[in-house]
Amino acid sequence: MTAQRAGLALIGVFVFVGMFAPWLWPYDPYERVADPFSPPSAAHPLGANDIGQDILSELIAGARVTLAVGVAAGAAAVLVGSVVGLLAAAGPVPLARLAYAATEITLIIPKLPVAIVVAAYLGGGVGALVLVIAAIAWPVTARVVHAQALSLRSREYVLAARSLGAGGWWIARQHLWPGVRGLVWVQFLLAVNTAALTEAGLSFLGLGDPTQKSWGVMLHYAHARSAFLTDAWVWWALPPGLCLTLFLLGLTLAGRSFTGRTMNHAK
Amino acid sequence: MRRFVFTWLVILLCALVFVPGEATAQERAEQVRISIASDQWGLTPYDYNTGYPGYIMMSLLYDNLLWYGPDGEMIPWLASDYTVSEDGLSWTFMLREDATWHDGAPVTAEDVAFTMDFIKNNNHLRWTGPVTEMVESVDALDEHTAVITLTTPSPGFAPLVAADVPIMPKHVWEGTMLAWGEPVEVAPIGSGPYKLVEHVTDEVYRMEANPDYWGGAPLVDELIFPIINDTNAAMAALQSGQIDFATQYVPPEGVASIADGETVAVARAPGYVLIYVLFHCDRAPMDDLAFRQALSYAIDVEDITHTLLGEYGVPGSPGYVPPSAPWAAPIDAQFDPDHAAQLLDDAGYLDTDGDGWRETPAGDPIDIVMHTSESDALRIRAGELVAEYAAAVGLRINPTPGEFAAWMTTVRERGDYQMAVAGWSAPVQQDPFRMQQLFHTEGALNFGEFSDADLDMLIDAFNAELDPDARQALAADIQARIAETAPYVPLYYPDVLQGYNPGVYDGWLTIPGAGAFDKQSFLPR
Amino acid sequence: MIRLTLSRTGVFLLTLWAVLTLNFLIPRLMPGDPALFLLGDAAETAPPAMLETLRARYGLDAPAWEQYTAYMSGLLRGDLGYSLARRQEVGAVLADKLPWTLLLGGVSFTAAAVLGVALGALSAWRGGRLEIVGVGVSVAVNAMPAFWVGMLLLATFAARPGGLPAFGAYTPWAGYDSAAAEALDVARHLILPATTLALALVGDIALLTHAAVRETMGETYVMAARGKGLRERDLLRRHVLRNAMLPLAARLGVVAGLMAGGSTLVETVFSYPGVGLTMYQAVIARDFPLLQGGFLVVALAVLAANAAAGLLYGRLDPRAKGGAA
Repeated sequence: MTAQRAGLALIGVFVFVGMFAPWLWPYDPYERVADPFSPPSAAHPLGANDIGQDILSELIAGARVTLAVGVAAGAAAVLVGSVVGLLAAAGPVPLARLAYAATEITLIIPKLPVAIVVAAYLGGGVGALVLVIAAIAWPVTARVVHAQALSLRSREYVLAARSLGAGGWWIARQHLWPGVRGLVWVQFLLAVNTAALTEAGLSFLGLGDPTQKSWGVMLHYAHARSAFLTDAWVWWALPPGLCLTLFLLGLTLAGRSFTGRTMNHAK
Repeated sequence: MRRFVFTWLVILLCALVFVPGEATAQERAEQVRISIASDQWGLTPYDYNTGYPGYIMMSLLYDNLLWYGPDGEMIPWLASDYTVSEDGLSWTFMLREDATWHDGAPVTAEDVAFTMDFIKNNNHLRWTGPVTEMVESVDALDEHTAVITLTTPSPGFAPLVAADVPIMPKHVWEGTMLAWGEPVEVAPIGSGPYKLVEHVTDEVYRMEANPDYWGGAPLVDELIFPIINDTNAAMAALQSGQIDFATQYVPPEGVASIADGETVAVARAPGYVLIYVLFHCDRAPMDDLAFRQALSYAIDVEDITHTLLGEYGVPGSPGYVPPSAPWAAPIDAQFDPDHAAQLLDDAGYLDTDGDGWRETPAGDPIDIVMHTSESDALRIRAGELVAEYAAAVGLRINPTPGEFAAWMTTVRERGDYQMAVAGWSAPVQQDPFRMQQLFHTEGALNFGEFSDADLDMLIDAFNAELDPDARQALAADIQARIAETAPYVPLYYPDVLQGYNPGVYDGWLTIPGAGAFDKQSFLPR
Repeated sequence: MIRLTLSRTGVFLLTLWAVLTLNFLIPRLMPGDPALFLLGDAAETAPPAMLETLRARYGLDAPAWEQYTAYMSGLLRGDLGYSLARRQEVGAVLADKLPWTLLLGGVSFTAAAVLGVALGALSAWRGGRLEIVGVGVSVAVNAMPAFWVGMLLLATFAARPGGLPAFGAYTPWAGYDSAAAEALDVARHLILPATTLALALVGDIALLTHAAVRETMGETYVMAARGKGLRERDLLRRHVLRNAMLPLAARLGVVAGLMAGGSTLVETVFSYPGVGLTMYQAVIARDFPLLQGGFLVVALAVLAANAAAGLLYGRLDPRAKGGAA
């Protein structure tokens, strides 16, 4: 579908920018190259931040951080979620129940303190952030995988395999995983979405890693250094928010089917 | 050139206030709405919560024996006069005879005696330490004369007790059963210019003028304190006319847009808050004087101040005392990276393995974690800039931001750190007696475990000295010694910037260190 | 090897116990010391002895298991404890804050549901260019971070004379003349935060409705009804929308959870005195009892919303047997 392609194209742009950021940014985003709070000029199209770093360069660097955090956390969340989901659906009974309960519990637990606890133990930094987000995001995947695997489990060929004495592990690998695999890609995009949004939210509250140049951190500083009291929000707070929106848009478009036709087709 | 700019800056600070030209001066007002950032609990001396604005709000209801006047000097307040005996041991306070409590009862020497007892018995108040340490006994000579006898002659008594302790009414508090942390059922009856009439938790406080105040009826009839958590929201409220004064400081970068010349003006006073780099002087390589000195030469505090605060701050003085304070003997910071590099070379901090970073004389890599607190974006930035300057002379410092509570635990409670970006509030900076606590080997607030025998001697001499001129000279010596031994790298003193609506009320004073939010701003002059 | 056999209620009880226990554990695992915040003004210059006195007075120095049993037995008696930082019963604090969160959440959700269903159903029903625009708008709005939208609204509509209120839920010193004036004031304060939260929800709801309506339109009975010549509007109302409500109902639980989290950010930006802001402040102040109570309320709200969603689903969909959501 065209929407899907548009989404992939959008993601592609950000992946490109993120991968080649050091060649694309006009200045080192960590270097102070202009007067603090400079408005946009020919040399600095988006002006400078509160200590004189080039905002455009920060924005480009932000694609890198957001992507890295998003992909790493998304992958970790989906990995954990899939394993737990499969366990809950096809594991030995006590383990399955525990896996199910763990999913439900994690869904209910408030995210903010969990984030602080995990970050405190891991000492801040991007690695900690990835784990924090993964710890928050995995149950969503687990739930979906669990539901799908359950419906697969009651299919005839699986029942047949079971009656022939196949073990749980064998069934999970031979029959359930292939059926779930298609879902996982969509779940991954969804998890990246959650991860990017969570990173931005945590960073905005000042609970991320403020020394990183992510879009969320840019918004944090724009807010903390009064961009919203002046015109500066136009070139300082608008662009990172827009980039984040476009990136999430790309993920949504790539990961979802919108029209009835594709939905019917998927059936 | 730098000196010249600096001098002008100091002169500018004395000019203090921007007032938009067209606004007519409002010398009285029926109502002034003052935003505060969080709920302050009860406003009695027993359960007020924060130094700013809680202590100031409490001081609208209660009076101290002495207070800080418009020039930042101590002046008689609830005591109309006082004398000190020759040996410095007994202080006699003459209470104002026209001072009454909000319920009409007169303020007496018995109340002073009761207050000191009460403080000694409640070990969670900020005065418990000083009062227990310094006050031997209180005697009511007559109804309006209280004699306070000290354990040893101590010049610290005036700033830490007489000017800091709010006097409480004995007849209200006597016999009340208090358990710290339980809600206080005692009415906030004081002798101050305002009475508390309403408190809705997390939302608002309302105070009414006390027409019988000994200093004259206040100029504003009613004060309303809405609680606004977010500074940006408070500034927006100021601009849209929903509030008339914000206790939240105007961010330096926002002054130009907030002082729009129509609704809002910004009052400016020199600040006593200090942001500084704290060394853990007990750990290598921070225990090495050469290392600390090199860092203070390597860091351009003037650039850091200008970058972070624009024109609204004063660069840190290596002697640590704010240049605007009465006892300051300001010393200019020297930015000289070449000299810093020389000091490091001479002390054996060399890059022996060629990775671009210096190692210790023993050859161990230097990779210092510097804790900064996420509660304050400026301090995180300050940490980044310090690291940048350190890197320029080959020292690797990693600014590591942490959530505020975690920062407090790591740095203050456990003392488990190497370097940190820290801050002292105005009350700590306000009186020179804190120098003992901050820098003396035995000092209670010496979190860097700094120790210098010469400095200890100077501080001991200072605290025993009663002659004002000799003390001023000793204070200067202490500052010079602090600059030499570099237990801190003082970075900057932010100005106190407070936004207000001059169209509603324009009687704001600007008191050094305290700014405009003070009870004297509401009193006839 | 221990053999565990767990029934459905067993799992539920286990879940509940685990949530309660984690509510107890998580705050205490956070670095930081409530005593420092309790000291308030005295904290800066407090000697260690002062901190110890305070910890002892609150039982913060008691062994963890002792605190844990006290917490659990308190819960059994319906006692949520006493907020350290606010000096109020936790129950009273939450009773004070909950109505505002419910108001904000209720208004936002209603607005988002009405708008989202309309947008989603219409774009699916009409098709063509309207569909592309409708879906595009939904997807775009869905991708915008809520706190960012909130800040933009604040900068645009609140920071000028005569602008919308920038903080709080009402004007505490107003002394209203009439109930109408009070309602108007509350409504004015609600506009910006509710808009922000509604925008965060509307895209998701529109997309769900769109997909559901699309699917229903392909069902044979709708096609049959259309073949019988039923009027378009009646068809939409009678058959299609009713079915489209299903995924919306199923989503209620997720949305409740989303609001519990999302409203923390929104309430923080607008200083709205709800549970979200209170929880954020409790985290900052390490107010253990308030955190425990607040988490419990949020967890119960999510559980209740899930249950309600299941019930609603069952009533709306005759095919669903016995709340299998």
